[in-house]
Amino acid sequence: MRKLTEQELKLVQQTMIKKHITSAELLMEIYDHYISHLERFSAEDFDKELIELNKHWTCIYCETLEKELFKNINKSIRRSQWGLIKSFFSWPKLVFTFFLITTITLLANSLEAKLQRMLLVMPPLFFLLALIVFVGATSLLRIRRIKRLFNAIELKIDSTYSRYFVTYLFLPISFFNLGIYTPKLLGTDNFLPEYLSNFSVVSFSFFLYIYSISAYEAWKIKSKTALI
Amino acid sequence: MSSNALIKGSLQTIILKLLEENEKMYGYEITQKVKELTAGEIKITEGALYPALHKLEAEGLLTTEIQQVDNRVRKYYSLTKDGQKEVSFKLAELQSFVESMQRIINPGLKPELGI
Repeated sequence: MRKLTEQELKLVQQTMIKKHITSAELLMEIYDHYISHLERFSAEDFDKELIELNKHWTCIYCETLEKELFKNINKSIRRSQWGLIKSFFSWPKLVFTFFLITTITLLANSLEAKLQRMLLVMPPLFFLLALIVFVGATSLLRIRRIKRLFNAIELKIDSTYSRYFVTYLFLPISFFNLGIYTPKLLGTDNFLPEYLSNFSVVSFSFFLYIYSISAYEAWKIKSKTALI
Repeated sequence: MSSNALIKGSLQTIILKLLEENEKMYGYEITQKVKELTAGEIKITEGALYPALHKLEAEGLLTTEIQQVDNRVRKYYSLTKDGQKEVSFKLAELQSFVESMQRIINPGLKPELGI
């Protein structure tokens, strides 16, 4: 085992850039694979082994691997969050969930309609927005470090975890917008009786709280292992 | 060298078994360990290994850990609790398959089967 020289490392990095990988997670994993392999050979064999590696890691192969990774990361985030959501309905979190439902219902009944809607829906939405900004910023900083390592600021990569995670965080915000603007566009915003409208808001806010808390928990788990 | 199709069918079991014995491993290390254990008879290609690792991770059987090595990050894979349970199931499944294959290939060999 030996350490690669600066020149050899540069050659490996240039090879990586030519593969047009967009996922930072995959790029770093392949980069480590290349270096781990090349470190086992002498400097004389470096060129031969690099060519050998490139025969396996072709651009088409990397693209296929990347597509598979996208699917798996998407599945992994969904699985983590769903597992967390399910855990809210199991002991001892069940007590917390009931406490949350009771508090929300009491709040909804004791306040004036507009104020109660704002108080119920806005905190989790702002929390989700803050999480989006935080995840985006953290990911950006980490990606910058990778770009610096490869000496290629123009490198078009991003964190796949971060991309899918932000999409999941945007989901309830999109539903909120849809729920607000669609009835307005259709002129049916006063169609629902107030009690039904209140019930919808309470239900949606309950979903929002559960979703926000589970999203945050999922991010805490994933941030330890991924580039997000 | 063994046929790639044969290896592909038992790749997940190989990965899970190696991780059960080695706590945590990274991709390249897995390929080398398999090569070493089988005296080069089985060579796991990158084309099969990484998709299998990513799939096992997505299924919640593996968890990952990022470690800084020199000037790069290394992704280590290890078994989750579900993964630990799955190892014995997968091994039993493979064992049963091998025994069944032996019955077909060597019909005369019956002692281990209790026949």
